[in-house]
Amino acid sequence: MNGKISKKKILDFILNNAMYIIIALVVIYVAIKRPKFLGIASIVNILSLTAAKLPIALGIAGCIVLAGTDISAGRIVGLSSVVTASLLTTTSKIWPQLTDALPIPLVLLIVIAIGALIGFVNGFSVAEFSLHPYIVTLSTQLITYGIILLYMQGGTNNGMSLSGMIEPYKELITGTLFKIGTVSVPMYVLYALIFTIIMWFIWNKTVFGKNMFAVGSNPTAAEVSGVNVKKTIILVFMLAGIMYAITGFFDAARIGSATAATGQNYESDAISACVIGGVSFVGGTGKISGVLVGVLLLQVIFTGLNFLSVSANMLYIIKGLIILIACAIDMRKYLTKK
Amino acid sequence: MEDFEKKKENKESSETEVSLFSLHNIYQNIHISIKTLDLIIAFLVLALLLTLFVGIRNRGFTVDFDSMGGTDITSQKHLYGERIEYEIPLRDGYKFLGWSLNKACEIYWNEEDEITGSMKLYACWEP
Repeated sequence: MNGKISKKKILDFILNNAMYIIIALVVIYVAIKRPKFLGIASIVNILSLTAAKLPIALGIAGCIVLAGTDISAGRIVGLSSVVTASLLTTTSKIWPQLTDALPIPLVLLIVIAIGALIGFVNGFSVAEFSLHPYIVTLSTQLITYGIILLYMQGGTNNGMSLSGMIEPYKELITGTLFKIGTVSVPMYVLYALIFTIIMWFIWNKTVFGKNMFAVGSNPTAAEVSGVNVKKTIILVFMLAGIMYAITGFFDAARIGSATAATGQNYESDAISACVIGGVSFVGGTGKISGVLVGVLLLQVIFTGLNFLSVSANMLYIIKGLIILIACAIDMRKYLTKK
Repeated sequence: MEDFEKKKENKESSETEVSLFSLHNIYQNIHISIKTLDLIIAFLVLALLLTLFVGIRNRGFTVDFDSMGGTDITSQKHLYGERIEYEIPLRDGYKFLGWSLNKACEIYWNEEDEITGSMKLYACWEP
């Protein structure tokens, strides 16, 4: 009898942690085949990429806590990125009348306003018209992409990639925070850390954060207990939009250029990271630390596969399967509790 | 009168439920046993492991070259950390400046740069 119970417990443990076990196996395999993977340069690279992807994941996590999702995230990152790149250059082809770059804080505010506005459209449509977030954000994803393409055709740019951003901006984002040996840790790692702390505070210490979890757990009960459900949903999507805009603001400097393809499929990585990190599609469940771990683990596995020279085409299939497995495990945890 | 108010209340609460339904638990209408779900997870894990195996077996990054009007350069396949075989295309009346990651020739690819992913390089010319 005891043997049967312990066997079931082991099976439960393996199935509930299948994703972590696979990631651990891949890391061990890569470390054996490519010892450089555990070198300082590689670890700093993983940390930097984690920091770059963290704001978008933190934003999308809020939407998942509401038992929703946001697939417009990547395109909002892209729009923010191209707007940043076009305004923080001395030779803007999109705005030829601009002879000098705009002040950096002003551009940051502009992209934040754009992100918040698209987030408002998403949140308002979900809250007011009871449309499923998948449908709403699918349409805003397409609309935003159309806007990006039109924007890139503006002035004399003719759809070309945008680069040549001013040095103070590049220095602000990609400048050296500190060095480990000869490897530089970029400034945006610090910013990602600050945004993580801010989001932790919002989620755990504010009324808005508590309302978000209440609405995610049971919107009807939340409404009965006095929570303004519609306002909460709108604010969660707006906050998410702001986080995507910040990701785009980082990305223009981090990549060194911005194209219409910037941000493409970012949402799939962010959603996978959230689900791996325990933010459940059931709603009302999730932790900032989980999101952080999810983004880090996903970055570890993809950097490892890159070290093994696995082609980007295969990575798409792998990413898709990871999302499916993470969702199936999430569903299993829900059914077991039920 | 009481009945009417009760009915009105019920109607209002059911409207609230309907209006908020879209955001409540995507798994609640799924009817599947844990055993079946375990089998699905096991199948998906196997599929992932198989994909990883195939991906590692067929590893290699493709480097494509766009000679921008010059003689064609064939694509190359390399592993992570390797260097490209630096070939120089020819074009009448033009001097080859190097290979760049973008058409605008803003990010040059040096001979000693290490490959970290699939990419396309564009030839840069000076008349």
